[in-house]
Amino acid sequence: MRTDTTVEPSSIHRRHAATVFLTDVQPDGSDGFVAAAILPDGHAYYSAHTAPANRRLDPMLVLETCRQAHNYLAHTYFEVEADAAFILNRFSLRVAPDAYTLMPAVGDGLLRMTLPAPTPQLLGRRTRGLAPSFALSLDGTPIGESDMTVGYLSAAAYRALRTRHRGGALITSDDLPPADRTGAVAPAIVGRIRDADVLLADLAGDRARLLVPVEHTGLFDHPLDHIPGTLFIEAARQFATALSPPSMIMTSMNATFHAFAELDAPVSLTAVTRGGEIVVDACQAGRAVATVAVALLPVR
Amino acid sequence: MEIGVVLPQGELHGGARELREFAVAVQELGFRHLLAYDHVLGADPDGHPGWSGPYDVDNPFHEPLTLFAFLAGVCDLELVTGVLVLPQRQTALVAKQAAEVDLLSGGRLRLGVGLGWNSVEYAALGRPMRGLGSRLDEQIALLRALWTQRSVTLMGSGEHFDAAGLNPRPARSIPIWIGGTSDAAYRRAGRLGDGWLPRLSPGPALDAAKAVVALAALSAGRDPSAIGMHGRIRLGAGGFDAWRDAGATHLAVSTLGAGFTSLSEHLRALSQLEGEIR
Repeated sequence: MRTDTTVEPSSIHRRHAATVFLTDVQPDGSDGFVAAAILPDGHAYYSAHTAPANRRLDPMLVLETCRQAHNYLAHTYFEVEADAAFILNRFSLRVAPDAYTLMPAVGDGLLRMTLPAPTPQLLGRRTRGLAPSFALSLDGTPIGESDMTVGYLSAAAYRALRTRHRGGALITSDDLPPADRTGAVAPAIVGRIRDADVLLADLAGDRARLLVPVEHTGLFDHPLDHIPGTLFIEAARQFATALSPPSMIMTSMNATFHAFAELDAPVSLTAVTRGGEIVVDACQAGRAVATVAVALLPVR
Repeated sequence: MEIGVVLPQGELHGGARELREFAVAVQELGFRHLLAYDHVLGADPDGHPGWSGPYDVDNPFHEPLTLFAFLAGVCDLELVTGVLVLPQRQTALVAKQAAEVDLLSGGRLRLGVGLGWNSVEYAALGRPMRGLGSRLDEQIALLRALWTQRSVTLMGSGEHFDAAGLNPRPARSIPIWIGGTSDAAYRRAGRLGDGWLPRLSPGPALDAAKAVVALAALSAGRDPSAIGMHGRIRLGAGGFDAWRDAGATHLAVSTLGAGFTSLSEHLRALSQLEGEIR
């Protein structure tokens, strides 16, 4: 298994090499797969945090590597067509609060992901869904797990359904101007360093407005016709960070995506604390589009 | 009631790629079958003054069994001819081609057959356009014999089977459904058909046709409830519940003639039926 260089970006729906971390996915010789990803020692987006622990190892980077492993797995081992649309239905992550300490003092880390072979959801002969469960380790030490549920549609069926859902012609992130940052919160409040990474505006208690920075290559690596699920997850983490004491980091996340969220209509966020988690609901035009539950713990 | 789609051939212009995309997408949208019309030839109106047929030489039709051999490899839908003009064809060749499609598709062919209407087509194919009903009856018997028996000896319709058979044969007797709009067609459906394809809408005329089918079935010692009914509906016309209430086992939705000029328009319209088909 390759661990020295990352995969071809197009093999995992990426356009920019700087956003590719996966190095390989291979059958493990029994009934599962093993994957690896390079966790860079410093990244323009994934390292731009106020919390030192997040700078060393951003859980969102771990999540992204799992997403990339899934994409590669689906195309390479489950014959999902290259132009198929991927529909993220659920995504979860649990990471040990001290996982960041396993990153090397200098240089890149290597994340290993092992997973039992997922049972494909079939439509006729075609794989139309997978739900892989990744066990994560860093430097040989288990650091957590991630689960995701993804559906696939042919490009033609996807276009038909999305156009109908939107009620008109699709637009992509490339068609839109950069986000209007009026009302954006100060980066430090949401644990970020750069203004460009802030996803919350008009924060008032348990409510906020979602910013959708289509110009952000970390969040919009390639043109998309909807708000990506990972943007909602990052926004929920930022919301939870804003509502929590300093020096807390995300240790678990459960996201459910209910409907496609359009790029050009406002999204409101509401946060409630429930059972030790902060649950963020995203609504657009009165319709629930995503629910993300985030747990933060103090850095050990 | 299984809901499928009439293949809008003639309004898909992207060749094999677009046919594949259409079939895959239709399956993903939840439809269960594709129904294809059949014409081997179209008449050139310039050579037939006063031509009044619904189609002519400028209307494209794929050869359905050849088309199905392709679609069998790209989708998992049931493939239905609606209908194949059987009396203008050689029975042995239809039996052979249908057997191939059924084998290659893993048993997904349903052969709708009918008499057709186009005398130009019959003439060009060298088959007389008379005695069609009795020829169709004989052809149906021949098809079933060829699909189920190693060696067939039968005479009729100018076709002489003298101890001859198909190899490979399909794994089953391919279902034969009867099209047509006459009482004779309805009686044939009741007597011989695994199902029928009425060209009527739910209402008194359909009820009357159903009664003819049922009576013919009973007269032939068959159970009328075992005979399927495959309706057809124009997109936007509604009537799904009426077909269910009428006892249809299958319903094909047609997006033809709605003014669509692209694959996307056909698919977007079909995607609106999500509530009807799930």
